Amino acid sequence: MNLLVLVKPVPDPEHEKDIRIDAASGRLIREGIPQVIDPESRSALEAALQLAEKSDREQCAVCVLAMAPEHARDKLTEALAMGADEAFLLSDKVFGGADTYATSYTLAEAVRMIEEQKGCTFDLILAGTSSSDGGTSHVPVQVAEWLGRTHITNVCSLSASGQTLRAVKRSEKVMLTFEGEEPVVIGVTRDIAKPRFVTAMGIIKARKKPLTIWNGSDLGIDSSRTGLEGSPTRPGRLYEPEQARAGEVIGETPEDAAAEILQIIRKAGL
Amino acid sequence: MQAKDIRKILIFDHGDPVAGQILGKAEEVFGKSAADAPQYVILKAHRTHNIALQMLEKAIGEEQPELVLIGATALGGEAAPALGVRFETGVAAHCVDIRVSEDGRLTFIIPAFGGRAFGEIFIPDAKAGRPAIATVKPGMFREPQKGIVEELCAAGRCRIIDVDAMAADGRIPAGEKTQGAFRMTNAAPREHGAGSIAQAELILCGGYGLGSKDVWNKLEQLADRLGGAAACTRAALDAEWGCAEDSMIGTSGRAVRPKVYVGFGISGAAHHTCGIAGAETVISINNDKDAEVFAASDYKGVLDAEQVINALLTETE
Repeated sequence: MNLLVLVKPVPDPEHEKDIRIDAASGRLIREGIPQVIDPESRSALEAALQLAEKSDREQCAVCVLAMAPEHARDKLTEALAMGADEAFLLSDKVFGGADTYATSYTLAEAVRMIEEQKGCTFDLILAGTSSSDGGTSHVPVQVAEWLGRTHITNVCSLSASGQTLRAVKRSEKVMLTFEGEEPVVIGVTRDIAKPRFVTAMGIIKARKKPLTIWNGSDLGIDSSRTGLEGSPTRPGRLYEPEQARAGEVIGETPEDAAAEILQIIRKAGL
Repeated sequence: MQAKDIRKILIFDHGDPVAGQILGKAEEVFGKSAADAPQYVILKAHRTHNIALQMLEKAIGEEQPELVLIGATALGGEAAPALGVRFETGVAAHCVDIRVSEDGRLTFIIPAFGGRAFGEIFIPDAKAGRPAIATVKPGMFREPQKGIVEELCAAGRCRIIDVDAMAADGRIPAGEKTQGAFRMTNAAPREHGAGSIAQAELILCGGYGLGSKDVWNKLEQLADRLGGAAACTRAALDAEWGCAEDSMIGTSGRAVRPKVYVGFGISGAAHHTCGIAGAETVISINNDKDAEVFAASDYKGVLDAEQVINALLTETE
């Protein structure tokens, strides 16, 4: 089985409180916020590694692919240290400012190129459904659309038997199980697998694994279809949500607070 | 795209109340002046993925709307980006607001960084044939006034394409249970039904600060006694004390608009507070006097969550 995982470097969500917006320019201040592999794409990688380990086939490679500035290569090294076999990083100024439409187009073109070079089709492309920064849930679906493949997102459980993949998708009222044999792009949720820790041995091994960096001309991609230029959406200003409420103190003791809470509830006619 | 260029809006209704909320919001934003008031086409398709997507594609092709609005449910959230690629257009995800800017541009407001920030999104080249597409989080907009659909239809401004009716009399294939090339082999109802918190007027919400399953159980008992609904934050959900995923409030869960919301042991991460912005009254209990949630609260108690829950249980015995 040939597996590809889309990994996304993001500002560490643990540092959510440190994210600031410059009120004058309406832009994000990223200084001092470390980059990490997006938690859901890390779970996707773990799920891919587990599938590969369970597979009885000898030929079961796990590739990882990311589009990010070149300084994010250490995130791909980390993915290799976790156990991926080969990494691809798409890095070019012309990719900058891409929305999900242009991002997914660029990723899909890279998938085609990797498949052509390897002479194979990825049976399964895995990604996080929703990244911690953008959180649109668009990219796995749109990569599949560009490639003309099936997409299933919000997948919380995944297994393979022979050629058949089984994915359980979480929707509002039901858990839906899908089975199929065709190449598929699956967006996972965090609970699909708990990511393993990187070991010292993993880091040593990662140094010997291939990491390829491609720019726009390597991909042979039309720059009008990438980055900001290839994006049908345009971002405007960013701002912090206004949530200011009075914050009036109720109750010095738990009993006082309880009485006041009940009073507020009754006043509201509930 | 200029808001005044929107002549027709297609709304996808697949059985979630969000469709009504979207219509109410759209009418509030675009329906103000009678001369420029847009037409609405409501696609009712309570269907599985492939059929819903096919019907949406067909309806957009035939109706040529300038704007397509879809609920950000599991189905809608997956259909919208697919349509974006098929119609070579932009998609604004999980809008918390739709506005017209001062210079008349159609403006979507979307959350980023788990609700820590809101950002404007424009789709400048949208037009009929390449419509602007946006998804809207359930619960983000108010329930519309009763009878709005009938009223708009009677005024000739709204039309309903009822795919379910078309399936019933055989005009389109009935339940094709596939997603792409994959077949659906099982549909198991989830243990916890779809969010009872969606319509609740009183919500008691527990955060990670509850500390244990034991306290969560007490919170549920209290909610039961008060005729309210128990809800949780992402962190409390991950702690697996028994909160249903559908009862999680936040950017990756639901947005709620209860009359009264009482939060216990909640730090107030933007992810969560973004989902309670529509509550009429917010009360927060947290023993950390610097908890961020207090800035988003009408009333605050710097107290131990469990002790306050115990006192409430005693009072309501």
